[in-house]
Amino acid sequence: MLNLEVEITDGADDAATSPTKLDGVSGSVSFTGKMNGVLYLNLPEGLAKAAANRILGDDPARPPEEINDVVGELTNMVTGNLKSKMADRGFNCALSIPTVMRGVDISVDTLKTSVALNNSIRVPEINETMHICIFARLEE
Amino acid sequence: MAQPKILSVDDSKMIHMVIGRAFKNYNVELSFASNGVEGLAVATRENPDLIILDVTMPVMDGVETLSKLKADPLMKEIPVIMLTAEAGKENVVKIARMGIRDYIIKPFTEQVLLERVGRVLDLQPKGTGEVRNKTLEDAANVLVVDDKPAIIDQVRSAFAETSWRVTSAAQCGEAIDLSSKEVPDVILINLALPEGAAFNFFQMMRANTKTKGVPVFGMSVKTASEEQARAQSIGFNGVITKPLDGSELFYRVCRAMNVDTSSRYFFVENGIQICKMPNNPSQIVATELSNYILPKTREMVDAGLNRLLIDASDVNRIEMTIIKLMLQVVQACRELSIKFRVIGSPDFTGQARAFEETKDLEVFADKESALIGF
Repeated sequence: MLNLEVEITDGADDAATSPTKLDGVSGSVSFTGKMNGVLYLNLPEGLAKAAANRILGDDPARPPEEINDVVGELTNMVTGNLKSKMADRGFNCALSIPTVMRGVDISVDTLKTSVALNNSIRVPEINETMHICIFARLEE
Repeated sequence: MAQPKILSVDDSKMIHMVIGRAFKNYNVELSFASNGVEGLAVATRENPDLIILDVTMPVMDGVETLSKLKADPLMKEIPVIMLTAEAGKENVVKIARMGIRDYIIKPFTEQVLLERVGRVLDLQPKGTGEVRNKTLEDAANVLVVDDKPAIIDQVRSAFAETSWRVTSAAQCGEAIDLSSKEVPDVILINLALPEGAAFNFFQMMRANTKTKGVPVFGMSVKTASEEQARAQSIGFNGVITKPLDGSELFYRVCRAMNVDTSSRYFFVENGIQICKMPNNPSQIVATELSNYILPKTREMVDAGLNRLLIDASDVNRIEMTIIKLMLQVVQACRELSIKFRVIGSPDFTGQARAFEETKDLEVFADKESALIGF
């Protein structure tokens, strides 16, 4: 669907520092159940636009709503994948619909979460890096 | 072969665009809805041949939408392919049990989408022949495979008002012979034939390039849920329960064959469009007529006609279904600036006056009086 090569940057599965800063376009999907929390997919503006163009076709005047839609859907896919993997380990949960926010220096604080991860994924072709931040609490 | 209709129900514009791009080179008619509520409304209106349904959506999600589709007698047979971002075994098993035809895990490629949809619909690349709906006036061959003569008679009776030929075979071997001599337009087969013969027959029809696109319906008694589920799962176009309901059988076979049945309700006489109201219409008949009202009124205006007679002379008793249909026609006429008049018996006129919605309608006793000054 996206056809972009990516590489995980060194220090994969780094623990997220609190508060975490997000810049650009960020999709979020929350989950509740045996695993509670939220996943953010954060893309710099240029990468978000490139992803939208890659999926929807090139459009130099693409409106921000379409870029938001793509980022929201990508976040849904990433969280769906996480959910599947966690469900197979006994941590089933239900997902919310995605929401998307834009801004610079957005601060996300992690309250009462036992898992706080920040994965950085570089896209060499566009020379930008996206982040997947997961803040979760696993129920025993 | 008419253009298959595909409805995509997804809250993401991106998915709609990806689907639109995947099918741009194929003869399909696409429609879109952004949640389950909209999807059900579009499905009711458009009668799609396939629904591609997302699981996670606002307002009404895919699971609830699917359960409503399966509870609706008019839409329960529409094949559904579900889209889900959740590839876990538990989730896949859960959605597979809900009576879907297939599922696609996001992200997906256009090739995967085309391949899965191609298993359900006969996808024709654009430019491969003229696309035109069959009409009731066209010849058609309905093959019934059943060893019960009474069932053959009931099928014949359901299609008595058409010029279609109903041929019958008591056994599958005979049906295969008949199909090889002349490919039928639709096949109805008794699912209870001995040794699962109906299912083997279906597989043979699908394996043959000549007959793989022929709609096949199973016939089964209402309580035989196991054989009905088996038929659905291997891809029968639907199951029709016995005792056969003639109007349901007619409607579903026409839909599967993409037959334009509008001539039952809409026709032109001496430059005037007639809309014939059926007497005591079943839900299926009412839906069928309702689906034609907008396109046929638009079509008549496009053809230069501006007068329409609502012929309710066959209607003996007015009830809400008839009132709703009449109001739909009246509204379409008003929106398109079509002059209209209503014909009905004196009894009909009396009943119409008793309803708030129709009390002001002027009803003429017959066509001649309705045409004076029209």
